[in-house]
Amino acid sequence: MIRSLFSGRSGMTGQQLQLDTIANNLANVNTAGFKKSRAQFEDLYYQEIRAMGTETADGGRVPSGIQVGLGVKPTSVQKIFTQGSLTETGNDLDWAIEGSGFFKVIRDGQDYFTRAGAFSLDGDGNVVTQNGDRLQPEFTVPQGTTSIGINSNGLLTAKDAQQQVLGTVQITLHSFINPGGLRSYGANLFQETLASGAPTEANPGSDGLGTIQQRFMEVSNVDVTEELVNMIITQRAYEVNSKAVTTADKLLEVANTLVR
Amino acid sequence: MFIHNRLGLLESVETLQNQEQRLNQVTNNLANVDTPGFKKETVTFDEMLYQATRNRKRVGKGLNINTVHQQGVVQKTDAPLDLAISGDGFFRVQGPDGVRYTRAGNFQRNNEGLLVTANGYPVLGEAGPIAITGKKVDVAQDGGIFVDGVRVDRLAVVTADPKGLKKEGENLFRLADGAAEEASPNFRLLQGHLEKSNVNTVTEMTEMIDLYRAYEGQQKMIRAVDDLDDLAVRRVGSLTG
Repeated sequence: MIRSLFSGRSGMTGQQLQLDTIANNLANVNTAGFKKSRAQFEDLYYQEIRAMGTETADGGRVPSGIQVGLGVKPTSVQKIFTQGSLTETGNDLDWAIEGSGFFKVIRDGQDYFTRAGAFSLDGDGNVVTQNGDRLQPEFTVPQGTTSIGINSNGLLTAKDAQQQVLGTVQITLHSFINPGGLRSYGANLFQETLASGAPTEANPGSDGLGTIQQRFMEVSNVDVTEELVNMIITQRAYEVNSKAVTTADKLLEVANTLVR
Repeated sequence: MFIHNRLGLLESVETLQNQEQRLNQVTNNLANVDTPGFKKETVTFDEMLYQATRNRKRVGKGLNINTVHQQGVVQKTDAPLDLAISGDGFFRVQGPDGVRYTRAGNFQRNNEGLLVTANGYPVLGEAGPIAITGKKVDVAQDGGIFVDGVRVDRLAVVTADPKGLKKEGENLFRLADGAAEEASPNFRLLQGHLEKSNVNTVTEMTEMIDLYRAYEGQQKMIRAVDDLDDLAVRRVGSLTG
């Protein structure tokens, strides 16, 4: 009896986490380069009341035994790194990655990785993210630059009004063996962890990395329909778990009225 | 006291306890309604002979809990390392205490490139743990794993007698003593899909109503027996009636 109260509660807590994840996905439906998350669950430990295969009094074997599960627990909230669709923006500094890979930026001396390729120039002409973090390798746009071009293999070229090349730099991308293991830092940034492995750096288009599409932006990979369907499922799952708790409570009530 | 009175009480109490056990099972099923690869449990009762007194036996209920190894709904997820088994079989997983079995195909790569479960246990192929070092992973329907177009290994998909499989938590099963695994003859692997839990909420809710009423009924039985005892105590031997 007490068991079902607690396993029902574990189900409700799990569904709350699921809802939190869905809500965050939906909140970021318009965030450039955002990758959706997915809450994952596993069954909790089992309490063995009668072991299967034990010998019975008349020499037979108990065929299936009694094991009672104790509910559910969340294992992970995993980022799903599928490609978001690309939209054309016309802005020279909007670069979408088509395929795998991350841009590296530096914030407070630390390395961060992002797929949100909506860059700008700061007051000194550096290529920075919307939060002012410098893109690596760093590039300062020379004086007199009127157009910035980047080809699909990441070669950035700054030209003046007469189409004279003022400076070039090779932009690189970074890949991880397990991108699901990256820590989400917020601000569209990811951080390397022991689980993700160390980044490998290469030019776009080589080594299995994606290519760069200038004047495009990668939108969030959140699918609103999918999230809404998941939300309905979550709500119902929460409801049935609460019913299990109520039923346990009702049984206790019935038991309590045994004594007059 | 007569034996039949006490027996009625005894059986009612046993049934109450059994219904509680049934609720525990239903609640665990409901809690795992979103757990990938989860297999629900059903409670069945069978008749058993119990020793009532030294020279009398009585028929009582034996509780049986069975895991239902029915295919769960397979959902498309598009994550390249989500694998669903359609048909019979389990993935083999290297747990900390030996080989374990799972139907939850929500796999990932760890920092060394090994294919692992959500808990980080390596998934086993025919040649042991599977290292995926390339960029693109394709899994064929027979379990063959291709990394950047090159076949590296084949996922081991095995079956065992369902009665010999024991749940261990963490979506894992282990073999009971005396049970053995064998290669699954009949399965198809689907990449980018995930097998959901096979719990049906409608069935579980109906079970819950049913067990609640059964519980209530037994409570009434206990009351009835108690009423009889009450009468016996107050009326038997009384001169006024």
